[in-house]
Amino acid sequence: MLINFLFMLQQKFKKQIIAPLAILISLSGFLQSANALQLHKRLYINNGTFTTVDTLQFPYYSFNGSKNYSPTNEVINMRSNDTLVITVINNDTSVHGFMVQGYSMASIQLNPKDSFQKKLTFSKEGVYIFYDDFQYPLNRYMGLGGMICVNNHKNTKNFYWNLKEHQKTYNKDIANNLNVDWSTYYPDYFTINGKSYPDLQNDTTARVLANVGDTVYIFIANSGQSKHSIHFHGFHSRVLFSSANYIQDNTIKETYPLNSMQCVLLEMIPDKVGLYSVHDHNLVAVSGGGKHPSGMFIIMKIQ
Amino acid sequence: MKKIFILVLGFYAMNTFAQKTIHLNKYLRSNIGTITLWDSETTRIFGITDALAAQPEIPAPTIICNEGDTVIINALSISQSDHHTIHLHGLDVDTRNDGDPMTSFFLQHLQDTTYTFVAKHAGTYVYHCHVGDVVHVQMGMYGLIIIRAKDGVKTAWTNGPAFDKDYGWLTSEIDKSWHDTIPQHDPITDKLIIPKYVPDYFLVNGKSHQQIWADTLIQINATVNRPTYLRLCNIGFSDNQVIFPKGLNATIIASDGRPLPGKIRTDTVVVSPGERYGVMMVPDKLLSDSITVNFLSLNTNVIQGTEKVPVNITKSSTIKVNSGKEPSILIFPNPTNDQISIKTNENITDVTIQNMLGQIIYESHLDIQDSNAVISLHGIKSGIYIINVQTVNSTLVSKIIFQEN
Repeated sequence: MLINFLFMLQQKFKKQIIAPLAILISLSGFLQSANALQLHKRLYINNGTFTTVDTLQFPYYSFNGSKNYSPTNEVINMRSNDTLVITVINNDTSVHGFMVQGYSMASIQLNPKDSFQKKLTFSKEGVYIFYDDFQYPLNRYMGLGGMICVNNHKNTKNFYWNLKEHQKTYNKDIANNLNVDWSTYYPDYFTINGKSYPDLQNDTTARVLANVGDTVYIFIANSGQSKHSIHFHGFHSRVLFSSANYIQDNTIKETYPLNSMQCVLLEMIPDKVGLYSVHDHNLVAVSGGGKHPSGMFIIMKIQ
Repeated sequence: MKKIFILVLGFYAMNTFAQKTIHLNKYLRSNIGTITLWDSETTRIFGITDALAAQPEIPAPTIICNEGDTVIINALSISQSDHHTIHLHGLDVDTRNDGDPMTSFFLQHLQDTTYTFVAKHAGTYVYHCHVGDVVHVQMGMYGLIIIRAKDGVKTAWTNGPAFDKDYGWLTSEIDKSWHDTIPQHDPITDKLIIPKYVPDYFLVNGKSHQQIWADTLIQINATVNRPTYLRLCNIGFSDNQVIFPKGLNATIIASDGRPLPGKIRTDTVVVSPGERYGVMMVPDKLLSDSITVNFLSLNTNVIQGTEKVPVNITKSSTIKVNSGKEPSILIFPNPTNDQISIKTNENITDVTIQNMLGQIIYESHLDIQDSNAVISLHGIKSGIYIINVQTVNSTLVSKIIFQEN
């Protein structure tokens, strides 16, 4: 269609330059289309236990890349216009669902051992939460929320923060099919990628380790129930994508409040060496089991 | 040659004048400190003072400088057993000056140091102790930092939108049980043991209820069609939902010390812990109302407390607020057990009386073109009330005491 339009222009204006331009544009579109990939990803809904920083345990679920349970949900990386063929397998003994936040799709229910396949394409760079919408928000609260990260840039250093919090008695009650009252929710454990400080320091996907001048992309999703206000020491960042209130694209900030199910993609270019903390500025969330510091606290290293 | 020399000298002098070095003293105190809350209860606090002899207050004194200034803070910890730092929140300083004990150093009792920052971006920031921050911030160790535009020009940022006057609100909460029994270290894990946080006092610049109504630095007094800039900063552990009355025409223009890429026209701003917002208000009519600040739980989104800050928008800038010095509006008798009389040298337009919870118990838009009015207080319970008298050019906000017979 574009070629036809340019051909018409050439006929009308008799400009010799139009034809080569058309070829270039056409070729560029072809290459872009040819570069778009089809990615295949399997997600298993696994049932397990969560172990806190003070070694308590409570029931938990997670989307994992294999049948082996891990409390850390999968992170799926892709580019815009790639096609993600996602296969979700219910590896649990109860019914689950699958949904992608902000994506137009029908709600899916998966009986035990059932599987479901869906093709997904995202046009915009950013962060999208996939989650279990069955008995919402219970299954999502119990851990079933992961991240799809869309990034078209090759030379960025990427880090992924999936924020959650937990009230241990709620996990036990929900696992026992008891009702919980969200109006009295008071979480006692706060995690990023299923870990709290100091364990979080050993998560290489979470802990920013970069050089001065690097372009650092930080994908943040709040798949928990509470709001989290994430504050950076040392650096402001530029917002590349946001589904959060008041946070527009290209906003430059250092504190990012995320409601439940909100996400941001940040671009940070460090200008100085050193160690810099990032933490929830609801300082109660910098704790675990009523002890401080723990929880949502991580130290970036810039060299 | 001489002309060039004078020109260069002049340029140098201008630069020297424009960018100055400010030296401040800050005393980090956790061995003394008490504040009186709105209900006359007193509670223990920590604090940061400018003088050794000063008593800690909530918040600590505001640091004000201009863009381009270098600020050197001489900090001395006087705390007996606690350690302290000053974290320069939002100023993007290096690790040495960041005041984070997890990445840098802390001050023991009688230790001192300097923290330095260059005021690169005009905006609103905050400083606070970062040692055991959940406790030390809760105890009151925080204050605002306002970086004005270059040369102190009244604009939101250098070459940004202008304002007539600006206000800074630093919001927080108090869970009195934390202050009564200050959370302590667990000697085994070397961690602070923190109890459940249930705030029972909600503060704007350290004040609540009638304390706010009596504080002319918090309440907004502005003029129709003139821009007033409100700097909002939340250092508490709850969300602040700030609701502006119609007619103020509030627009969010900045956050975290940077201009927003696009203005957001709204009547509600939610400020989360650690965030700052710059809100420009250009009222288009006379107002005698209040800005509501709701404090919401981050876990349940339930409102835990509400404060109301008076807003008085008048025609001219000749606002007269009761300071006890030669009032142009007289209210008498006060205390009273029957009625009050209002006598002014201008025509009265509105009279509002509110109780200490901010509830309006009397409101009158007076048609009388008179400088005198008498208001009966029959049926009102004994107590302290806030009366707001608006005349053509003035507003008086004052306390009245009513004692039933």
